Formats: sequence, C-alpha cells, structure tokens
Amino acid sequence: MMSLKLNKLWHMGYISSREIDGNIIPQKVQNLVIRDYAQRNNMNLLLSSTEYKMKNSFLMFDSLINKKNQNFVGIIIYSLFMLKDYPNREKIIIELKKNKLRIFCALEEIEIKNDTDILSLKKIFFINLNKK
Amino acid sequence: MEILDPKEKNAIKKFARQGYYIFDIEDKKILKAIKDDIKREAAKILKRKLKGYNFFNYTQNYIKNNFLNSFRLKIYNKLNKDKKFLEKYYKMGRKYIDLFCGNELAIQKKINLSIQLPEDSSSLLPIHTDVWSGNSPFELVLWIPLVSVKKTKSMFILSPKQNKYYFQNLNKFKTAENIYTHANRKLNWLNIRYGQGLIFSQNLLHGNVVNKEKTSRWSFNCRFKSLFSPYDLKKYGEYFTSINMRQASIMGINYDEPKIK
Repeated sequence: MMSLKLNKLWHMGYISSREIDGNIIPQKVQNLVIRDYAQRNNMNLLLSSTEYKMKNSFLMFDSLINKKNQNFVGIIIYSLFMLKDYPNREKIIIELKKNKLRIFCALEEIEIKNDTDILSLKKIFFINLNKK
Repeated sequence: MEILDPKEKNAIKKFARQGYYIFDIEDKKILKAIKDDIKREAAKILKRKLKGYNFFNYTQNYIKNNFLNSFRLKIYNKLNKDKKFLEKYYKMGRKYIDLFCGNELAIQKKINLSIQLPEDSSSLLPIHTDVWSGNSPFELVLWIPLVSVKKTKSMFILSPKQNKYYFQNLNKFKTAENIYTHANRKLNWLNIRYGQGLIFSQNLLHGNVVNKEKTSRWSFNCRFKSLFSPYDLKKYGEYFTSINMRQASIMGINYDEPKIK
C-alpha cells in the first residue's frame, strides 16, 4: 500500500468566480498560486472551494470558516483582496479561533492571525483605492 | 419547428423534466479500453500486478487517502495526453449530447477524473451549481462511472422544480452547508450501472458527500456546450476546444468583408 511519508497538515484552497480588486483572474491561475504557496510551505492541499459568482456572495467562505468538523486545519485563499467586501471581516478571527483554523493569503504570502492583521487589511484596501 | 422521432422527443422530455438523463453506452469496448489503460498505468505507479477489475471497486486496499490526489493526477495526466481520449469520451455519449446540445460543439479540453474512496473526505464537492462558479448556463456534463454507483457512492442532483426554490431563496441561507442541510431530504441519489452514462445540467444543484459504501467510486466528467452559445469564465481556447466544427462555420470565420477606401 502506498502512502505519502509526510506529516503535513491538510489545507483547503479558496478561489473566486468574481473580479478580485477589479481583475478577472482565471481560476486555473488562482489554483496555481495556491498550490505553489502550499508546496513551498510544506502544506497538503485539498481541492479548492470556489466562491459563487453572485455579487456579495460569501456562502462558500462562510461554510469554510464555520465548519465544525473540518478535515483541514487551514484555508489558503488566493488573495487577501477576496475579503475586501466581506461583511463580517471584523469577526473572522473569532470564527477562526472558535473552529481552530488558520487562514493564509497565497498571493501576498501572509497569514491573518489576529485583529492587528485585520486592521492591516483595512489599510491595504484603503491605500489601494488610490489608483491612477 | 422540430424534426425529431418519437424516441428522441421522449428523451428530451425526460431530460427537461429530471434535469438529467441516464443511458446505456452503445460501444462498451471504448469504456473497457479506457479501464485497461488506467489499470496498466496504476500497476506502473503502484509497482504491482493488478488482476481483473477488482482494483476499481477496492482501490482503498491499494492506496491511502493522502496519496490519492497525486495518484489521481498521474492517471488524469496520462489519459489526457492521449489525443484520441476526448474523441473516445465524446463517442460514448454522442447520441444524447448531440440531441440535447447540438452537433457543433465545444468540449472541455481535459476530462476530469474523480476517485472517491470509502470514508474519504479529501475530494468532496459540496452542493453547488457550476454556473455559480463561472461556467456558462449553456453547458451540459457527461458523467461516466467506471464502476456501478448508487447512494453515497454516487452523486446527488436536485430536479429543476426543486432547484427553483433555492435560486429564489438563496438569501435565506448563510452558508453552502445550510443549503445542503435544507435540501438533504429532497436529493436524488443517482443509481448508475457500469456501462451506463449520465448527462446532466450543471445549472442544477448537485454534489457528493463522503462515500459511505464499502467500495470506491471512479468517474469521469466533462462539459459540452453548443460551440456558438455564450461563454462565461471558462473560455473557448483556454478551457474548451471545438468538436465537429462544420464547414459553413469555418467559412464564416474565414470570411473577410471587402474593404472600400
């Protein structure tokens, strides 16, 4: 019987079907970035969940962070900009802690760990509004 | 105007009512040949002889969950490297794909392979419609299992009538999980024998859960659409290629209007 001789923990990818900060990123590219990040950080990756394309939908994201009996220990989202319009952003940390989950942003190569990181997101979103 | 024989009309009627259609694959030799190709490749990867076809139903005895995805990808890549694979796959469902979709088609460039070991939760597709994830509503899925499937070893789908409720009331649900919990009792678990194929509309809510049966599921899925129907995020060229493009269309694409200065 074959198996991977690794003690890596499973992580769930999370990609979008909508524009991300004004750009349409092919899902294949989003998955490539996530896979690359997972490989470089020695994480096992599960098939990505895809957010629905309807405006303001975070049904898949909410499913991931609220799931009580996950078969994964973390979520790797393609980019932090996917959370720009997420209405419950301030409560993410509470949910993550409650469900013993970690969340990583593959493109920006960061982990959102605490409320300070949530505030940093706000700053990033605001500064990036200043586009030519 | 429709010029169809009664059998074709009945098939369309059934498909429209159920949102899916199960049919007998006429040329089962194609299916067997694909199974043989997989068995050969699997024997190479696993470095052991595989007798008969028990391997497909009892894959859990050969592969552990954490190796499953890399094993699946090796088989997927090998099959999709074969330039004839798309053609063979299309032939197995051609009669009904042409009937439901038209005969000038776009076909997904790579055919997906899914393996669901018993009790494995690593490759689930929770309740969803592909349309909500960037597929065009003009697409159909040809789903072919390599083993007989039923109950949780299979997939579930909601009827067009049931589906309507969730499209109209999506705001009532906070998570995709909530939709599944609500729909749980209404789900149609498809019972499909080896040698049969399934065509379904990916506009309908469908998905799978942890396989609670004693045997493994192997299945292919591939999307088809009328070549000139609208595309969404899954584009022609990147995700789709053409099949059976007719000469009149080729002439039309190559037609250049004379320019007058």
